[in-house]
Amino acid sequence: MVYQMKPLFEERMKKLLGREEDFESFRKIVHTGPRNFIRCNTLKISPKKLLGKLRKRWDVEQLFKDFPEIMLVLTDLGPGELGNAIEHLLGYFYVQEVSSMMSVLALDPKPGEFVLDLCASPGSKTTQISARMKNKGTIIANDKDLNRVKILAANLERAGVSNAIVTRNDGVQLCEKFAKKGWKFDKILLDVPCSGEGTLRSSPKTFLMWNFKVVNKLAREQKKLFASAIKCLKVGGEMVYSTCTHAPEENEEVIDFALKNFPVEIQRAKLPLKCRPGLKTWEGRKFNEGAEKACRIYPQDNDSEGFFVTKLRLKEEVR
Amino acid sequence: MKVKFIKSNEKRRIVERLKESFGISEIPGILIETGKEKMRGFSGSMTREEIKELGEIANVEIVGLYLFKIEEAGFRLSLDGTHFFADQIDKGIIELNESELESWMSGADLVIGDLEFKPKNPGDFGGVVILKHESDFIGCGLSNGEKIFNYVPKERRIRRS
Repeated sequence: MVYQMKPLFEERMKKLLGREEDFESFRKIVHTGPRNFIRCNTLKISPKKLLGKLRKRWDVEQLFKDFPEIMLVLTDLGPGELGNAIEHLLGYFYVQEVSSMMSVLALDPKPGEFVLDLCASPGSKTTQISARMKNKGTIIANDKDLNRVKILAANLERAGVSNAIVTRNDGVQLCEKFAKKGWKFDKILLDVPCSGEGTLRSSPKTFLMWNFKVVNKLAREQKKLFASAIKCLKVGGEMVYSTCTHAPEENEEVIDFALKNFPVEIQRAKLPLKCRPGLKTWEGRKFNEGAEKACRIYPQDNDSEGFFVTKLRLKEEVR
Repeated sequence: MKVKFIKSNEKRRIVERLKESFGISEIPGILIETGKEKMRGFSGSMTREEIKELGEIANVEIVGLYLFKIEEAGFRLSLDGTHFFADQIDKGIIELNESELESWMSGADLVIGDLEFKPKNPGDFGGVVILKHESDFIGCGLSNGEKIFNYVPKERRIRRS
């Protein structure tokens, strides 16, 4: 079944992309299925060993010299074939879209650090954080819904994550409590619930479900989450704010809110995908110039899904 | 979540038994009992006191990784527990060939007499045994001397269409 873009969504994307041919590339690619990206789980196996196993039956390539764990399966696969592979069941790899791996690459967590993953389920990024930390240091992985926490827990087990504590709380309330008790983190991943405009290839139903009212509602919630989370970041600590949507209300507008209200600065993240700069203006609103350092990932640039990643550093204590 | 931190002398006793069964001589990090004899390992940097304090701040659902359950028949290591201890396990191992691996990962019990692997010591086939294929640990099972009963959780089994 081929879903069509809702007229308002199409109008907004045209405005966002500017050039007609760019929009046509976008329109074309979002109607094709996603590529099969996987991430080697280095907590259990080395990329070299995993490649050796997978190449016995599939054509697999590593995309980036600096990130050997990121792999692409080129062989045409049947439905569920990746998830049913023994190596997946053993937790040797995680099925994860390449653009969604960028948040953790930007966060760059190190062994020994104290990290908060505030909206953690289903756990793709938490497992990636743990792998980069080599299971050393602590991750607090939170989500507010019990069913989502169960999925998160199952994925952490499969990936062999032993340095995480899973909590089930409303993100805003949890951060307020952390701040009150003086708990501060070295790094925070704020990969917020969003309208999912970037996931059209893997989840075409988003074409049908997209609704502008939801975009605005989510933007309000995202700002609340940011305002709470920043209070439990150490001075000099880093936060990555990310979404899987293109909507500026959920992206630059939140970053603009952050820059205007908190002592933070944007840091340009070095990522292995093509990034377009954050917007300067949208619908007559002018954003703080720092928002330009954000990274917009478009599906037509990387043959991936769409994503938005921003790295921020806290300059001084939040009062 | 009810959490009981295992004290060092109790942990030492557990390690002694793990060593006897599988050659495991160390459990890195904090050992935690959650539920009936279910043990989890936490390799994070938070202390017991900090974890307790976290429990007062937040609804803590899970700490660390599920490693094993202490049963009458022995230590029932989880699939991920066998990976956690992979560098240490050198006893109580039954090696499977490719087709036996497929059967095991599909959830089938294995008939010991049918296995390609023949142990030097037949006593290795009693109680809880660890399964391995080439360099991969694939969990553990319970042997009655004739059959090895499958412990692979349903969600980790190969699905047959």
